[in-house]
Amino acid sequence: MDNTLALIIVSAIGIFLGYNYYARRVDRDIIQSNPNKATPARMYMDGVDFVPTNRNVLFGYHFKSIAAAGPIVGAVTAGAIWGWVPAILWLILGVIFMGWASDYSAIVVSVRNDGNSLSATAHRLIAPRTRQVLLLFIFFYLLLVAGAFANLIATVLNDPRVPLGILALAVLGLVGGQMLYRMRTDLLVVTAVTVGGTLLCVLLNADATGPVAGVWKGFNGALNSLAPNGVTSVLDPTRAADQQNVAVSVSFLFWLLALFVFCYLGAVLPIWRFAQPVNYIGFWITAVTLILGGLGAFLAFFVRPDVSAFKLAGFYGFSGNPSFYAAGALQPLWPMLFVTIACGAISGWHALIGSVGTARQIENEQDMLPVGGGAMFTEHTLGVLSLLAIATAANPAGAYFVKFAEGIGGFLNVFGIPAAYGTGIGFAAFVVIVITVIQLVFRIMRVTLSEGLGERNPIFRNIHFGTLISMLATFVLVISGTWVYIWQLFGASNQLMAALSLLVVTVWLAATRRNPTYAAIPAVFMYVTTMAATLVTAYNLYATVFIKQLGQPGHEIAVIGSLLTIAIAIILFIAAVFIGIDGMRAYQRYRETPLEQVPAPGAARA
Amino acid sequence: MALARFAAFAEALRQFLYGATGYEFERQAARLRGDLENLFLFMIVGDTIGVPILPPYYALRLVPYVVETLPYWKRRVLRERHPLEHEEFDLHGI
Repeated sequence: MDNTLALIIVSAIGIFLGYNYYARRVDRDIIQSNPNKATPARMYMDGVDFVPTNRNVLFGYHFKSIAAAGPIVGAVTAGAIWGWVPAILWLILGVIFMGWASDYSAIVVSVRNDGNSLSATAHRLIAPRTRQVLLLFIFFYLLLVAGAFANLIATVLNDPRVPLGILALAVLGLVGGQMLYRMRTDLLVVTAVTVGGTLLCVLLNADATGPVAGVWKGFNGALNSLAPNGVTSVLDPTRAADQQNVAVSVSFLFWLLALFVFCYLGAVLPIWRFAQPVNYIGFWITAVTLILGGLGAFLAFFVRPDVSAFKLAGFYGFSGNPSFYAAGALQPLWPMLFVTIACGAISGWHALIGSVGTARQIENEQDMLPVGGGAMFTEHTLGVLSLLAIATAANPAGAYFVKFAEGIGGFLNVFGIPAAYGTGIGFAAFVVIVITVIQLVFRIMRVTLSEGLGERNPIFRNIHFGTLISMLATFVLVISGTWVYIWQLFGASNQLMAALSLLVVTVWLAATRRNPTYAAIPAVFMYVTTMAATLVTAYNLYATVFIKQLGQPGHEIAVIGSLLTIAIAIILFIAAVFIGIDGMRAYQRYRETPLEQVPAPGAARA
Repeated sequence: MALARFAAFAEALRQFLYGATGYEFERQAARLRGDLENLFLFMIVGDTIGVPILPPYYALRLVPYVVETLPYWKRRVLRERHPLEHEEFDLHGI
């Protein structure tokens, strides 16, 4: 069982059974998708928001919208904490029983409610304040994802094998926007220039002993000579006892600021000028990594059994990797596994995108399942591939993303690419995928700030002020040090959004007299699980990060950062309590007095 | 038969790839055009949705050309919106 091919087969069987024998049944018997029913895209076609779109095109669009760094980082982190067995079980069972249901149902509810977004439906069906709570969730979700990712990326950029590809990404992103929208160059040419150029720079920098990496090594060394003992200190309780006091180096700080400059461009420039072309290049890099890595993982079993065999432990125990409980942290399998892997199994963000964008382009009700559910099942494969990468990494010790890069390097080695080179490519691909996400995060954060606080104080409507405030908050989170906890809290906020979306779906199903079980059980499970995970993470931050650094000279920023994260955990918990109470009341209300009558099962298919 | 099935698969793959790559730019272009049209129609017939804009006299000559699009335009600008809806293109890939 502990080889790449076996896991690929198990995952493929899971997808086949889940899609054909569960998802299709729900679509047919409960939702009763009807090809003769006019969808909002057909009723309100305006050529802008409501556009009937071919099923395959929309499937590609929706998949591209949801597939990025989330499934990679989650699967890699969970594999390292609990082993690959619990991670793959949750990935498969999560997507079969919950993930597709959340994505698909959000689209269904929007399609059946005139293309209204999930928050508008929640406002109407549950309570007016649900919309505000959703906005709050979105802001903290973004802050946490920015904190977790920025820490990772600054660390990886500090590696001399990476920076050139990212510089190329920034420059070619600007060039791509100019070529497409100003010079009206053919998309194929733009793709060849921007994606080809970025890949070329990634390859030039991939060799750790090469001249380009040597230049970056010298540059980092010169920076660090300014303050050999670092700028400030943080405590990382997940490291070995004698290595927990980590100095924040000047070069780390430099690359963190460089990352913020990159993201600033993405946040304040018009979307077509920078963020969109950068995201486009990022998608190609993701796709190339996914396809080549997936093929390599599949072929490795036949041609390179040494690469295909797992080196990672199958199961570390219910309390997780020993380094965590040695530090005094709690990492119980339940609930923490279920928030560590969010995307790839179930994600609330997908539901939000689906209800705002994709649902308004559904041409035929029978496209809802292949687009919403199908894209989620496909995204799940990205999580499985990431898990395979970390499970087969040659060096079981080391940072999670290092192991991911090594795993990808191993898969590329199947095609004859030297392992060291392949690992460099894996590193750079990882950064490109994540950095395209962060720039968008800051962009949406400033919009959320503007929407939430703009009416109280007009300064929040200023795009520069909103972006800088978001970056400052992120900076404090990053300097708090322990990104795993921030990642888990991000997962909890994401999964709470999934629970909220499933709750809206459950209430809608009850209100329209349909059987709500397929959405209600995952909603309750995710709600209880994520509430518990929020509390556990708050405890971990308090016991292993905050209290141990309180009063220590040089650790002041880390103390503020951990305090901020604990406060976010508490706010999320309280917000979730309000949602739970309102949701229960709404469910009771609509069970007693449904909104409308629906035809008997089967009648709609006549 | 096999060839036809292969052709259908190749076409589906082409459509999928277009959806994952170029379609976003097509939508962005449509949205830019939609925003400009919004402004234009505001100037011509803004008063029909309660915006107190006094159109210039010559705008009246354009009214016959925009009458057909008015119901769609009204629905588009008066529709309830999600706070992040206009940033939908930014939401991708998180």
